[in-house]
Amino acid sequence: MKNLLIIAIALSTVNAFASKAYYSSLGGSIHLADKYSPENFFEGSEYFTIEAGLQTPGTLTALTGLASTANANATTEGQLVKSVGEGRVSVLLGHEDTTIFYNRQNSGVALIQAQQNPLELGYAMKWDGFVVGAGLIYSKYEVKVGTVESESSLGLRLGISNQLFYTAAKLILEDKYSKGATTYKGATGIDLLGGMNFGSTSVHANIVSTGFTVNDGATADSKTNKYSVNAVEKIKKDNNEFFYGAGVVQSVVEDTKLKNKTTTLNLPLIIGLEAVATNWLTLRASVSQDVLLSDSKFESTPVNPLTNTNTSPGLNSTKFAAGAGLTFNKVTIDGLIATAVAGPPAATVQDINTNNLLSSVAVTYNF
Amino acid sequence: MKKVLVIALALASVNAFASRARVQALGNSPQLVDTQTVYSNPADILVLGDYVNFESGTTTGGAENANAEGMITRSMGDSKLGLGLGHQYANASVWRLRGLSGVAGIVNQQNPVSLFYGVKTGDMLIGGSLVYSNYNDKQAGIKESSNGLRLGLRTGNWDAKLGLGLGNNFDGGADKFKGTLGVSGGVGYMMDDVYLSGAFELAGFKVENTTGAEKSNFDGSSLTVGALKSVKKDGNELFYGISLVSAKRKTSTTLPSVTESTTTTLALPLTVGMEVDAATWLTLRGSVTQSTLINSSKTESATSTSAETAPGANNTIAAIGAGLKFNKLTLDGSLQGLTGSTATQDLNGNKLLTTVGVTYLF
Repeated sequence: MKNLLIIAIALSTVNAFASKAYYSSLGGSIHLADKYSPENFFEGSEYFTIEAGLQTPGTLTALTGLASTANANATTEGQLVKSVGEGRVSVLLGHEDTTIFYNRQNSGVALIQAQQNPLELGYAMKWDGFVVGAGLIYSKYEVKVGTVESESSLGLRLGISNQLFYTAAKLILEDKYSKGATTYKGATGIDLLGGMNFGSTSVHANIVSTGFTVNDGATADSKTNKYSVNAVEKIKKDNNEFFYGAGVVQSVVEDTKLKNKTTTLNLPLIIGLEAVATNWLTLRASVSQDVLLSDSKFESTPVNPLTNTNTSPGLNSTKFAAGAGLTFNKVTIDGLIATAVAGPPAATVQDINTNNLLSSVAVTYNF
Repeated sequence: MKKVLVIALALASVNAFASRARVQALGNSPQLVDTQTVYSNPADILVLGDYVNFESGTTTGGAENANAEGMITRSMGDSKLGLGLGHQYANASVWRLRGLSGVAGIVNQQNPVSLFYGVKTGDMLIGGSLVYSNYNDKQAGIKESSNGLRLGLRTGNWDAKLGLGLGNNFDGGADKFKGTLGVSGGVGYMMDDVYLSGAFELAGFKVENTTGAEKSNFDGSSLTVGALKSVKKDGNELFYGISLVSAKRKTSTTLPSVTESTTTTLALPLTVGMEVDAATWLTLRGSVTQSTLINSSKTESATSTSAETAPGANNTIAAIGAGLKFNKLTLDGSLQGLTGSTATQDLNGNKLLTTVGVTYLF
């Protein structure tokens, strides 16, 4: 038991900051525990995190067919993880589920809404050396007068983990939006993630299957399948953590009504670092880039040379991200070092000044 | 072995900081050993300890010193391996030349990767690196590729480097850019506290149309010799030096009309720089460079001289930077607004650090 406690403390020393800024500054590496998934509710102490952000994530789609730069991570949210008896309960307010968010964004439905006032409830407990947990994703919005508009979503999270492995599943059971004659309906979404630890090395596999249909005069019936396998090596020294990893990611997005298909195959490398600069300051940085495999192909039927694309390998994908965590007793403030410096989606300038110091700021109180 | 250690300590004494911003702030002075100089002299990988380095920048821009990049090195006994991601290589075939070609839609290196290997052999540090980039838009018929080889050596007071640009190509569908074999090299010798150095670079390209007919070609060469005195005291360094830089660029156009232009330059730049520990956690650095006495440039065609200055206009460049040190982690940046040919004179909250880099020394 003592050994387990020591391991738990060692694992949590550097990673006591669970926030969107934390994930983003470390490049969203797959080995980082997903704080939304119930098998991770026992990572570290009980906590309450407030994430700064927008009340609405911006316009997902301005006009039909136009892409948007709206970011699921740009919204405000808060999460409370608290012990209740032998288990832990999580209450998550305002978190935009990425599967639902990006499906709706990619739908091309003009002015489609993201999840409104999303709520996630979760519970996890320890059982015979395992952590098992489940959670519920829910949102609902409806305009009953004038132009009728509504959105709703329902999902389920399941997770189990122990010292050696973890498995998490996210099921999107309902994902609907309608406005007037336009209807959007998400397909049943499945996101399976699992991994094993081999000492300092961990391997991870992820399978995502999702899609949507749209009926707004024009129609769409899109299905997405994504598979990835990653390996990450962590090196801890002097309370600092450095990691590097590689993976193979393949995705197929096919629309049977619009008759087009996008396939990608990538081999991203990632290098990241989290270093304790002082007892109150933790600095983080990462860089990632596709190497050798960076293929993307878009085909339409009948063949349209004006819209078809085929890059193999593709353009620059190097991304830099950096962040800082400030610790004041049991309170931590996390931020990306300037929105302009760190992604996602991509850095634009290289400056740190008082106008762009910390962004995606989060405050966490560890009980 | 002892000598190697002494060299390493001497070179690294002020160099706890290492990043692109540092090298820029010190005017790319030739005596520097840094995470960035590893790209030109791979033997430098053995002088620095194991490290991971991250440089802020853009994903898509791809301009040198403005792009995101990172590097990791790990020791394996007397040898060391390194991996660099995203570094826009000023290779012997000099990707920068692509910008001079006038080929429509030309891009720089895409997702460049550098692999390094260094080994200690007696008192000698030997390093080599391979550079590779590849991009292919099969639908639009646009391709980019580059590959090259770098070799480096440090022994006693000597250092030497050689770069071979083996491939540097861009196919824009209409016109094709083909870099010629590029060769660059340099040698340095530390004589007490004076660093003597020489460097050369040969690079060029030609542009062909879809039928394979040559539209234009470019040949460039440069030769630099210099001497620099380094004064180290209390962990601080002041250096000043002078160099003679001769360069020649010849552009010939055959289609649609025949033209030829040759630009020759000769300059005698004087550089003064410093790197000072202001506090245990703060290092300030700066440099100023300006051509003195000799600063001539002449552009001529077969029949006339189109431009000639001797000496030329102002080219004074000052650069100031800072490094923050937190245990084994350093955060470097140029003091924004105080660096480069268009620098202003302000340092305030809105202009603090730019070209930010983070380096962790294991």
